[in-house]
Amino acid sequence: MNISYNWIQKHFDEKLPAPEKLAELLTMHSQEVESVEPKNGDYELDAKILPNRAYDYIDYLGVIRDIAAILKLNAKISLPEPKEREIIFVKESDFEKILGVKIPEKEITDILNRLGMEISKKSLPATPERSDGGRGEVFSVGVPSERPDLKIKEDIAEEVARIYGYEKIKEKSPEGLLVPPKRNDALLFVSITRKIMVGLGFFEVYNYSFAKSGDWELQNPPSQDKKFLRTNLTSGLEANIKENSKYFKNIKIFELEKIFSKSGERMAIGAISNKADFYEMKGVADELLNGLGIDDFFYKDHDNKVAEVQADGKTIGHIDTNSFEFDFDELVKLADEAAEYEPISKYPAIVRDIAVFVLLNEKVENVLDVIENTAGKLLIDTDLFDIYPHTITGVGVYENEERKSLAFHLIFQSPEKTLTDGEINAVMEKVFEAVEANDDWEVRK
Amino acid sequence: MADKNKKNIDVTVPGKKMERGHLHPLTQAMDKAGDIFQSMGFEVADGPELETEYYNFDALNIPADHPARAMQDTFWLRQNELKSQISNLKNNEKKLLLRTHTSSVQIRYMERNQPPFRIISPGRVFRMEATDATHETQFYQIEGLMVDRKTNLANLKAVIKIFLQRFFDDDNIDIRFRASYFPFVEPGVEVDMKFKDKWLEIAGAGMVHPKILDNMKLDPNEWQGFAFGMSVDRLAMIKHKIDDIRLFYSGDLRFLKQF
Repeated sequence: MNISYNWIQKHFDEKLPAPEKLAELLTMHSQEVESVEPKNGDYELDAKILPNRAYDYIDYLGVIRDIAAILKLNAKISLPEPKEREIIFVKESDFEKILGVKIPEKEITDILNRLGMEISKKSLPATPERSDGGRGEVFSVGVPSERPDLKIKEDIAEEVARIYGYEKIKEKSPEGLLVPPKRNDALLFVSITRKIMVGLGFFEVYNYSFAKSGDWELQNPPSQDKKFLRTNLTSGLEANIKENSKYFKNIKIFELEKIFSKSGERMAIGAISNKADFYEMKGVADELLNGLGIDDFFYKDHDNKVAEVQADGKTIGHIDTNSFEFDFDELVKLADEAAEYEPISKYPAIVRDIAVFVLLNEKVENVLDVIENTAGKLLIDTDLFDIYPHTITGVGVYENEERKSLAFHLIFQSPEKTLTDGEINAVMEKVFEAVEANDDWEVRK
Repeated sequence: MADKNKKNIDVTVPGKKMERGHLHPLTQAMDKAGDIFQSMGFEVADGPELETEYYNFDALNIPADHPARAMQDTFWLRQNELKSQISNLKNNEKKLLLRTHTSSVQIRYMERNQPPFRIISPGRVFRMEATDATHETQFYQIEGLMVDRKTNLANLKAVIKIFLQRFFDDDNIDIRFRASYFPFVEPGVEVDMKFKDKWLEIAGAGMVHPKILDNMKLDPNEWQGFAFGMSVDRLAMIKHKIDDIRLFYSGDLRFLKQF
């Protein structure tokens, strides 16, 4: 709204501050003045009228009343006395209670009068409930018809505060007992997840929540390729890889944000590493899940992606060749912050190796199961350290057959004593026997 | 042993290339803000981005015909019967939208908890805006709410000022309140921050409108408090002298590497 400086001046006998200064006063106490432009010997003040004051400014007189109150001047406007005024009751103590500053009574009534309000003061009858020590006085504020935005005592407090000047309200630290805030578990795991991913060398990105297709369609999309809410994070991450590959060779990025599936809003974590293979991404996934205290999960073949990850009877995520995406809401349900200490054995560990020829399509997990179930509790860890395809050329039943060789370190340790070679040899014999009990497996010796 | 090998080491050869990961600058800003507010006793609360008209507008004293709804251009969702059921909506407020502020989280929090309240809610919000260097269709916001028996405007001033001083690690930061209007606060103010001798708009704030407390079944004569909201993107842009908000959502490693 453009307001003429000369027109404003006409309403006052006193000389008003210069246009720029007046604009600043209005910005602080009334409406934001966005520009002051000289025009034909006058100045135009472009004021952004707040929506609650629109009615008051229709005849531009709102600005005159505001200036009168700010500068404590008498404006030359005469409006017919309204037939009826809305009455708002405000206790004198309310001002301090809301604003945190004591404003002299004279100042309060002066401000409200200049804004066109009619003030009278009444004493409240003494009651046992009232303990405000002599401040039991109430202002009856008659609101002019051009101020329909004033309805409650807080509105009156605002009128006084803005004209009095917010700069005169001195900051005060809040009172009250400081109780340590409650922890938000979901956000704790969000934070742990980000730290793990960054620790593994990933960059965090934020992509748009919008996508070309999805389950939730916007009525008013920002553009044709952003008509839906995204249903996954991976598509966005793949686009990031494409863009960044112009400048970088190795790109490892992740996002932890909301996706919107048919069933509603879910938190998801997606990661992609352009140079990684499935096993590397599986390693990242393992590290992430273990870092969240999730131990009980397993990988299964999947029709479209390489693998799906299951836990607690549910699919919690998928791994594709060089990316993964997990349902983070599910991870939070499974996550556990408390790690329990296991005593470190004082006795030395013994390492033995075993290599097994198996069919190419054999799962490592099946071999591991047999080894672990046979070796007993002295076996504290196994480590697959080599895997390669191998054509058997020698004589024998497996001649010229495509096989793969799996080589494991088996680590034995007891919490109670130093293990002897004899003890471990006996265990290894049992393991060899159990492995060879499978007709398709052969221990390489 | 060290001495023997030392001879062959050329300490001026560049180190082996290592690459650490980086947190997004907005995450870093939200983490820092979260730490500061938590040290002042504020709990971090969160809520949905896909929100109902009730939590985003009605409960915040922004009725359908209110001019403030025009102030924020909202993304609305196309709906069918199924989607309305899924979203587990309250009463008859079935219209779904992308939240335009995280003030909706305040309402959800107040429904489930008893005062006094001290919470902040950081999160992604959406506005139907033409994008340019300072406007985006999505950005992050931090809303704060403090409700107690005596919490007043002077307290609001103290909390915001301390927060900004700590956030920017600059004790010279000053703030000022300007007259403004938001339907969910009364009085309502615009907060400017004096940063390196310039006044910058940094937050909207005010005293929680009694209507909202009333909606939450709290007696406005017993409880009162303040609320404020600011853009995390803007805080981060000022802090790191970033001149284009769109960089945050570009996934561009040349940008992200710098934080």
